[in-house]
Amino acid sequence: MHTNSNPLEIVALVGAPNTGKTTLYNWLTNSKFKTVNYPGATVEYAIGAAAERLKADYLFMDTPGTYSLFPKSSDEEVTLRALYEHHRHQKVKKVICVVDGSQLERNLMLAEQIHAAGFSMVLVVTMSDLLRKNGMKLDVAALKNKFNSPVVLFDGVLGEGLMKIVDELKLLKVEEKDPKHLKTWSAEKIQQQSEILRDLAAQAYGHVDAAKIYDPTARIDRWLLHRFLGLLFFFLIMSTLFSSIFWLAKPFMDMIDKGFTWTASEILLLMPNSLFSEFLAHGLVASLGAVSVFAPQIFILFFGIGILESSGYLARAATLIDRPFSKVGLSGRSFVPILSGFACAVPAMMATRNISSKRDRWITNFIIPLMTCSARLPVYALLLSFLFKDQPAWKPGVILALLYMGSLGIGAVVAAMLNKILAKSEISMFMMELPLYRFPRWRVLLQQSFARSKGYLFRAGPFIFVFAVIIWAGTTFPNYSEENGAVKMETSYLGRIGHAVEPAFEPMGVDWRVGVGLLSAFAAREVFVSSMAIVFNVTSDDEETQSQGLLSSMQKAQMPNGRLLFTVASVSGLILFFMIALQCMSTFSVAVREMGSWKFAMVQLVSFNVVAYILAIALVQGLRVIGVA
Amino acid sequence: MSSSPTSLLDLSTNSLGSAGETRARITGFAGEVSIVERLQEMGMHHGMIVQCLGRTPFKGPLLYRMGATVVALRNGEAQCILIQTL
Ligand SMILES: Nc1nc2c(ncn2[C@@H]2O[C@H](COP(=O)(O)OP(=O)(O)O)[C@@H](O)[C@H]2O)c(=O)[nH]1
Repeated sequence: MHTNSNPLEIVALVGAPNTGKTTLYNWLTNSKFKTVNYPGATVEYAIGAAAERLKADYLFMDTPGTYSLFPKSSDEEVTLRALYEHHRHQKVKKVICVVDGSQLERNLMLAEQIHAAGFSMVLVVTMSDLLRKNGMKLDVAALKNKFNSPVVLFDGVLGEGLMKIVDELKLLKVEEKDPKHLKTWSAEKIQQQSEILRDLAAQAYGHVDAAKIYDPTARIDRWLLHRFLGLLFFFLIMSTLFSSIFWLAKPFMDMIDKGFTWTASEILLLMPNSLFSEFLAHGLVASLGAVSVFAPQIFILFFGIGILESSGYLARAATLIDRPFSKVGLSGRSFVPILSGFACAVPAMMATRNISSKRDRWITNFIIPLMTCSARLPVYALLLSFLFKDQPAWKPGVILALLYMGSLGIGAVVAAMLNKILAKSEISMFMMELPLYRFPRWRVLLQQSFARSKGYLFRAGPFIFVFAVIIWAGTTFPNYSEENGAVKMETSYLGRIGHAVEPAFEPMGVDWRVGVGLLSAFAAREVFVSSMAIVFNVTSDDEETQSQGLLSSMQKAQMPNGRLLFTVASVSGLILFFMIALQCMSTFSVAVREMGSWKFAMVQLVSFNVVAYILAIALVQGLRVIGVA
Repeated sequence: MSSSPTSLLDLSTNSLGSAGETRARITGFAGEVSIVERLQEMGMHHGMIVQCLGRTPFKGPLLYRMGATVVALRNGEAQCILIQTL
C-alpha cells in the first residue's frame, strides 16, 4: 500500500527489559501475540508493517531488551546487530526509545546512548497510566530539551498516545550520515552521565517520589520471597501448574476423545467393509485423535507459564532458585529457559541468550532437552493411563508430577557432572531486576496460548499424517483380507521389517510393534502415540472410546513368547527411555544454531540416546530380577 | 551520622520480612570490571540511596531497593558496590 518504490523506512524499538517495548510494538503493528515477554518472545527481532489504521509507511522492528549499546549477552548483541546491520531492509535511522515512566532515573542512560550515536529518536515514556494513577505529572519539556527529541507519553493498556508517536515519527528529521558505533564508555563517563540523568529524572518528576509506585509490589514480595513462606509459595505455585495439566484438562480431553471416536464409527457405518474407510477410521482418525486429545493439556501448560511470566513472578522464581542452581553450575537466569523447556526445547534454547556467562549458557542448553517437553506429555499420559487404568485420576497425576521433577533432577545431575568437567573460566552473573507485579492481560494471554497450542498441533500434524499412512499401509498389506488381525499384522510388510529390528528392542522388554513406534518417534515424539494407536487399535471393539480401546488392546497385547507386552517393567523402561532420549530434530537444529557448533549438537544427540537406551534396558532387566514383571 | 565506606554486602544480612531494613548511599564501585559496568548500566550510581530488603531463602541473592526498582544481587555483585550507611 505504500506509494513510492523505495523499501519501507524501518523504525527500531529499543529499550531495557520490561519497559513495555513489545506491548508498544503490538499496538504499532496490530499483532496480537508475543505481547508477554514469554521466554523467547523477543529473542529474534520481530519486524512488522505498521497497522493499517495508522496510515504510516513504516516497518517496525522489536528488539530484545537491552540496558545499553555495549552488549553483555548474546541477546543484547542481537539488538546491536539489528540496529547497525541490515541486509534486506534499509539502514535503521529512526529509533523509538522506550523508557518506563516509573524508572526514568535508570532507563534514560540508554536514551542518552542512542542520542549520542546519532539516531533520530522519539522518546516514548510508557506506563503513563501508572503515573496518572499515582498522581504524577512528568515535566516532558525537560526531557525534550535534554535529548533534543520529541517525547510522547504512552499508555500500553489503552493505547493512548499511539497516534502521537506516529505523528512525531513522520516529523522526525534524519541526518545524512549514518549513526556511528559508540566506543565503550569509561567508568568516569558513565558516572558523570548518570549524575546528569539523575538530576534530569528528578526534575522531570518534580516533587513526587516515583518510588511509591513500587510499594504494593514490595508488600507482596514480603510474602512471596519470605525465607520460609517464599519456598512454600514456590512449590505451591509450581505444583498447581503441573498438576492442573492433568485434572483441569480431563473434561476437555474426554470431549475430544468422544468426538474422534464418533467420527471413526460414523465413517465405518457409512462405508462398511472398504479398505478406504478402514484407513480413514483406523489409520487417520485414530492417529490424529490420539494426539489431538492432548491439546488441552498443552494449552494449559502454555497458559500457566504465560500467567507466571506476565504477572512478574518468574523473575522472583529465578531469584529463589539462583543459589541451588549455582551449586550445579547454573544460575537463576537459567530458570526461565529451563521452565520453558517444559513447554518446548526450541524456544527454551533461544531464551538462553540472556544468560551472559557462556559457560552457564552451555550447560543450560545441554540439559534443556531433558526437561519434560509438551511432546513427551502425550507419551507419558498414554503410558501412565495404561499403568493406572481404572484407578483414580490423582494417581497418574502424582506420578506425572514426579516425572516432571525427575527430569529436573536428571538435568541437575547432568549439570553437576558438566560443572565438574568443564573448565571454570569466567564469572557468572545474576543481577536480576524484579519487575512490578501486574495483572495478566487475559485476552492477550488466551489468544497467545491458543496460537501456541495450534502451532503444536500443526507442527506435529504432517508427521502424524505421514506415519499414519506408512504404518497403516505397512500393517495392512499384503494380507489385507485376512480375518485374524494378529496374523494379518505378523505377516504384513511392517511386521517383516519389524521382526528384523526386533532384537534391538527385546532387551527393553518390548516387541517389534513398540520398536516401530519408538523409531517413528524420532520424527516427533508424539508420533509414538499415534503409531501405537494404529498398531494396537485395529482389533478394538467399537463399544468403547478410542482411548479406552487402545488401552484395553495394549493390556491384552502379548510378546511372541506369550508373555504380556506391556507390564510395569516394560512401561517403566519406555518412560525412562523417553525421559532421556533426544528424539527431536528441531531441537537438534536449534542447538546447532544457538551454540554455533555441530559438535555440541552431535554430542548431545548421541549421548542422550545411547544413555537412554542403556538405562532403559538396565531398568527393565533390573526390575525383572527383583521380581517386577 | 556516617561511617567509613563499606560494601553493600555489609549493609544487612537480615532475612526478608524481618524488621530493621537499613539504608545507605552509594559512594563508588570496586572489583570485577564487567560486573561494575553492568551494575552501572542497570542504573546504579554514585549518590543513589539504597535500601536492603534482606536475603532470599537458601542464602540466596540479596534484595535491594533503589527508587522504584528492586534488584536481586549475589554476594559477589553486592560486594562491588561501595556505600556509606545513613
Ligand atoms: N500498566 C501498564 N502496563 C504495561 C504498559 N506497557 C506494558 N505493560 C506491561 O508491562 C509488562 C512488560 O511489557 P512488555 O511489552 O512485555 O515489555 P518488554 O520486555 O519491554 O517487551 C507486560 O506485563 C505488559 O502488559 C503500560 O503502559 N501500562
